[in-house]
Amino acid sequence: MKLSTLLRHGAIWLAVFVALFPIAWMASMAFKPPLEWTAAAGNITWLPKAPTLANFEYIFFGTSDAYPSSTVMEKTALRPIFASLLVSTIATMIATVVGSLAAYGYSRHGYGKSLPLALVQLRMFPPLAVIIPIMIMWAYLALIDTWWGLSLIYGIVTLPFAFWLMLTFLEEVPIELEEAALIEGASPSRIFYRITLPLVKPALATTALFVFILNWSDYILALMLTRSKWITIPVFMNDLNSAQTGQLYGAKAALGLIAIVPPLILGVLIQKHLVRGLTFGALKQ
Amino acid sequence: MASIELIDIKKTFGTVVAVDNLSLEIKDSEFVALLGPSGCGKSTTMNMIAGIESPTSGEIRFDGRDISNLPANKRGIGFVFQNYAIFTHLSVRENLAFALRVRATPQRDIDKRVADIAELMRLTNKLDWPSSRLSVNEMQKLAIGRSAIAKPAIFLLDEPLSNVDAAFRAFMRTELKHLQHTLNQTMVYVTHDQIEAMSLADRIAVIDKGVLQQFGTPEQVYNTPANKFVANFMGSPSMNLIEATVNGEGSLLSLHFGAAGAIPVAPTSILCSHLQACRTRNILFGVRPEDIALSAPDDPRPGLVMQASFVEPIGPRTTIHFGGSVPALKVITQKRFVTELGEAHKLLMPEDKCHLFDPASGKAIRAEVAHVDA
Repeated sequence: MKLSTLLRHGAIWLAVFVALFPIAWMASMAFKPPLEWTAAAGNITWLPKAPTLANFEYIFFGTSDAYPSSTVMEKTALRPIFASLLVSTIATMIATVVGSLAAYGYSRHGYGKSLPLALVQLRMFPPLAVIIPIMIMWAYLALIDTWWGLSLIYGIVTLPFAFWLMLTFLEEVPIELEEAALIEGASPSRIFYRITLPLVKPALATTALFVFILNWSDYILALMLTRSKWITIPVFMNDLNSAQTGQLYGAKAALGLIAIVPPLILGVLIQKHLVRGLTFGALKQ
Repeated sequence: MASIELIDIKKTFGTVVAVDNLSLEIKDSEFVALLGPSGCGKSTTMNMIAGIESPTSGEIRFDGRDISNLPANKRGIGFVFQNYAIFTHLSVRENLAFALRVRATPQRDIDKRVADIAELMRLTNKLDWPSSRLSVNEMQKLAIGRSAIAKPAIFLLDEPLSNVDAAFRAFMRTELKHLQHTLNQTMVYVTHDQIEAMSLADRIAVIDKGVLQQFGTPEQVYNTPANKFVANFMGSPSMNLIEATVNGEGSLLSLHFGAAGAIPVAPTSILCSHLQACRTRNILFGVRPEDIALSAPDDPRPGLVMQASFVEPIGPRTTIHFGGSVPALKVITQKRFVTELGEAHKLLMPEDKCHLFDPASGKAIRAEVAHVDA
């Protein structure tokens, strides 16, 4: 094997290791008893020596025999998981539906000439830059610590992303297909629902997945705009510590492992759409 | 059925004039070809007839009724796109049925008409295929079938054969002509291929830079081109156009071709009448390559003696190029013609097959008598 090939393979394996190691470490951590979490006991534990479900027990029931009694908590992960699922799903629907319709209107009818630029401006600063004004607005509107308040801000924040992604996909759909349908006598709404929408179904799925992941992993907005009832998984994860024991790494890892599941399921469900071309062969180019 | 009238149609995109004051009258069940080079405005004209584009000014009438403001989905026409625009997410059957479903046709009628049109287009055994799996030729047939199923009175085809292979193109030319006879529709056909236009159309509208150059039967357009552009565009290889000077007075005229020599013009010929209609001494002289006869250099008849510079044998005929850069002439001989490069021949030009053009305006110069003949 040549040196350059060797170097390339080395770089690839390094990248794979860097990407996968934290996940593997987290998965391992989730099944370790508290003593094995850190090297305080004397040595690093790579794989759990005494595998346990105590961490899962703790986050779902607020207490576990393996944990010190001072860590007992009133709230469990059930509510944050539900909050995350609900808020992310609604926000994804808002962003995908509004973003797609806006992108369609813009690309086909030229509605809102400054729309793309205006929307990209929304992404030019981090949400952190406007979080305080938003907090005040949300407080005025009584949207703090509500599922609809959080869904709304997530929908707004991810809308530009959905718009741009859908715009790219929609512009790939040949305008002739819609013109052909129009000439055959179809009304604009029929053209949209029978021709364009079926053609961009894979694009919609892709957009929805990306938007969902963005919403699912947000921390800062949820931290500022929720108090207790509607805190999401990332916020709840930060709460997993106690004055006496410090960070509850095992519990955090268990929660992290659970947080992987919904995007993973979504990804698997739409995987066949992700790799397919949109209108392959519709036109002879 | 329907006639189409375009009255002073103009279409501008920003500062670009795509179609400039175009007027056309297409009769009921006529097959008209819009012919011109790429970007001449023929597709834009088609799109305006279809309603995809609206004219900047002017009026479009179907059967005398102004439909300029009627949306495309209410015009009841058929349109075949250059790239077919097949709905690839639907089956062949659903593609064909699309226009009927839009019109809320009962399922029984849909089944029957889909079967009929599939039969006509020879797609019967592929009805339940996903349309994305069809070959290019089949997609073309599907596109035509999908537009034809609603029996539109007006059928528009935008370069439908430019993507298919040569053999299928020749086959489809016949099929299209047959289809038009069967359905008795008014057909408008956009093409940049003059052979397609000549072989299919009842009348040809030659368009250049958004301006209508000539509108007439294939014979008229070919034999009596209205101007230099039409003369040059029709025919392959194109018409020889060379600069010439008119010498002499009254009916004793001769044409001078610089270094290539001169030809005296018979006083009683049509060419002589044409020349008498000239207002200038400098003209553009045109003659089709297939109208020139070759003879021995010492032939006593008037003609130009020139040397062969390049020979292109293409099966049934041979194209021979004569002369250097200026003037250069192409000649088509029907049989395989054997000549050496540099060999001299006399080029005989029948006086009734010669064309004269004004070098400034490009317009054809013809005596009145010729107009009557045409």
